[in-house]
Amino acid sequence: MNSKIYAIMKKEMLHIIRDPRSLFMAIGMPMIFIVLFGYAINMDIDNVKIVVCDHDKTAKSREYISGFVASGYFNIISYTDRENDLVLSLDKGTAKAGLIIPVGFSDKLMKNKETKVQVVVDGSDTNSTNIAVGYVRGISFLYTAKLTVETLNKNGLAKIKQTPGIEANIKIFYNQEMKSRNFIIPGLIAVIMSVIMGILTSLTIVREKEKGTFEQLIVTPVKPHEVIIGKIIPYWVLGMFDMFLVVLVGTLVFGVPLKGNIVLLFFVTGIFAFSGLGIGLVVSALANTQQVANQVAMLISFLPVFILSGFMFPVKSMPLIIQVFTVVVPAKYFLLVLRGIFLKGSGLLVLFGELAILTVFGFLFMFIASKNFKKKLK
Amino acid sequence: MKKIFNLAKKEFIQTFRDKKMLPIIFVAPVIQLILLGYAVTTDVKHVYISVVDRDNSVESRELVGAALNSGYFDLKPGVEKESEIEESLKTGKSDFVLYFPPNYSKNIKMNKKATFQIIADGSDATLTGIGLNYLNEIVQRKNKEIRDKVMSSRAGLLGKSITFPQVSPEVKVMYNPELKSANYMVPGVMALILTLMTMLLTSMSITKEKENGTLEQLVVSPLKPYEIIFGKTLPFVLIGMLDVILVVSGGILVFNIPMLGSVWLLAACSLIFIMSTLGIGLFISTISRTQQQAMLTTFMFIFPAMILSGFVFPITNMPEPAQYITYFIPLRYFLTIIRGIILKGNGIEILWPEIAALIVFGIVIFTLSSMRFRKKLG
Repeated sequence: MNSKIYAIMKKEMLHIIRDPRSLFMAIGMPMIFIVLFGYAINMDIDNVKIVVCDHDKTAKSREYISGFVASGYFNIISYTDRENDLVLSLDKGTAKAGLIIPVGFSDKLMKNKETKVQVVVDGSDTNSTNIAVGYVRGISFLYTAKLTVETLNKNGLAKIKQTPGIEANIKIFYNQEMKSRNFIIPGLIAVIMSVIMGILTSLTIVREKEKGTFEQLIVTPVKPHEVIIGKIIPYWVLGMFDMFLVVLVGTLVFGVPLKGNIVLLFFVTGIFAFSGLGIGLVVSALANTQQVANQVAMLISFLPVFILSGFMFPVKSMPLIIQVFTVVVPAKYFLLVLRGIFLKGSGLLVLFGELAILTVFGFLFMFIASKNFKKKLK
Repeated sequence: MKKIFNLAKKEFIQTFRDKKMLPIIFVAPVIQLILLGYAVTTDVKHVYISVVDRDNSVESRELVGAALNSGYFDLKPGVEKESEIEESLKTGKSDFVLYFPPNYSKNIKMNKKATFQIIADGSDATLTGIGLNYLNEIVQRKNKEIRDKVMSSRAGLLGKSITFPQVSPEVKVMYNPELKSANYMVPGVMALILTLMTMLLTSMSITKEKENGTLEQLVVSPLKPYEIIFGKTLPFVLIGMLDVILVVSGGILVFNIPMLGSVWLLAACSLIFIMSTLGIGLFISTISRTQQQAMLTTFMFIFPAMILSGFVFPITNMPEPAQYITYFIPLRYFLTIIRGIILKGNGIEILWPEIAALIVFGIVIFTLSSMRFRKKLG
């Protein structure tokens, strides 16, 4: 290796090592992220708090309510006779849903009529609401089916061996238990790499500008590309180390499967790192203070990875205009690769397209960065 | 008082001397608002579905038609054989494959249980889970239809005419009747921006003076410690409040979110909340020597707070120990307050416990941090 690059690299390494907190954070952050996402976040909705207002108070109404408990999706926090109390619980947020069973519920069912129950839900969190409403419908369908069979028995018609109807036989590939952590933790590699590459790098050059040591760098015989390479290598190594940590903790502690090739995983991550570094360097070249660099880096590296990459919110479901923006988010392709390697065991053949795009992005961002950097130097 | 004002003025001039700071303070919130408001749709749409139909019957096409009519699925043709199913899931061409065996319609006609298969890619657990919910509902509806038909005809054969009992839930969605996720996200974005701006700018602006050595000059000036604290934090309170106004008006104008409660109560609660974020910002500045440290430390505070506060992920879904931790996060209370005021029109009579918690947190955090800051100054 070129000795000038080595010298810059060594200096940058010393910067990182001399500031133990930054170093600790570069390593501690992945751990905090992984614990938060692997442990605290549960995207499966299964504990909807519900208040029940049963005006009917009959065997039938109790049977219907027991369906809610048996489903495992609802947690009945209280029973009340007054609908006002039910609404108040929703206002206070102590319950997310309320079930009101009117007088005559049982009577109507006995007369083989349709009977309506009222379900009041707090719609502020749309996702949970949609799912909870689906559960309510499901429970009612099940109960109706049971009543149908009872009615048949009563009428002496139920000499059918099998209940007619259709049944879906569900088979899930790649993440059989549908654990959200299995698809979140591989995605974390993209988030952490972007934060380390984008934000830390963005500060490295601005810091020298603020302290006035940048001029000193300019007057040295070091060439711009040597400065860039020397400055990014330590962060690249740090990022790769973080990735290794995530893989280690993710698979060993949280049991995330790693079905694909680990060498391929390292290879693609190494390539992705260049787009992150490129973004960080561009920010660094344009900003004059660390405050600005930091805010811009958050805006163009952290936020898109978090929101536009499909890390948590499916890109397909976004409005078309937003989807157009996601095309230039490298993390979007990286995420497909990560999930492919971890969960599907995809190889180079399947992931070739994404890999090619990532390589292009890496070169492109590094090119833009060195262009801007040269101008600044003169 | 005049001295505080002068210091605040200096801080303002210093912040805005960097021409790039102005757009960041006012453009960044708008970008965040638009990104989070539009992109974070937790509703799932455009789930790719492919069909392998070995039955090729009216019945199988009817079910596929019902799925497509729901508006949640996009049909992706091109999967013809059983052997192509896995490949299609692996490459992400389809998220779901419906497989109808040859005897599907025959079984329905013979009043037997007709089974078909749903093969799903579980690697994006959110998308798959919600997609399965939709499919499940369609299957249940179809089942009810088939059963009713079969039962009535059977009853007709015996010369009886019977109706069947049925429970149908009537769903009433409160607070967010159209179930728009923007209604849920925008108040959250407000809280997030307020936290970011006040905490980050405060911690970085104080450490900047430390780095530049100008903090000593402030200390030897006739300013009292509390005057330094107020003078330094006041500008960021104003910037934060301006951003709140910006985001709230943006939310109302662009996303049509309702503003059901009192604007004044919202402003008052925002001010109370800022006390704790400024306090944390101050605290971070006392433990950081460089801006980079301050930034990383702030990030470490904000990120877990954001995840655990209920901003995107409902607290009720978290495991119990994680839920206890959320009680120590001021953002949690503030989120309940703003969502309550904006979406539910809640007043003090309902929100007082959260407001009280915020006041206590604000006073404790701000006092402790100021004490520590004064000690460091002395």
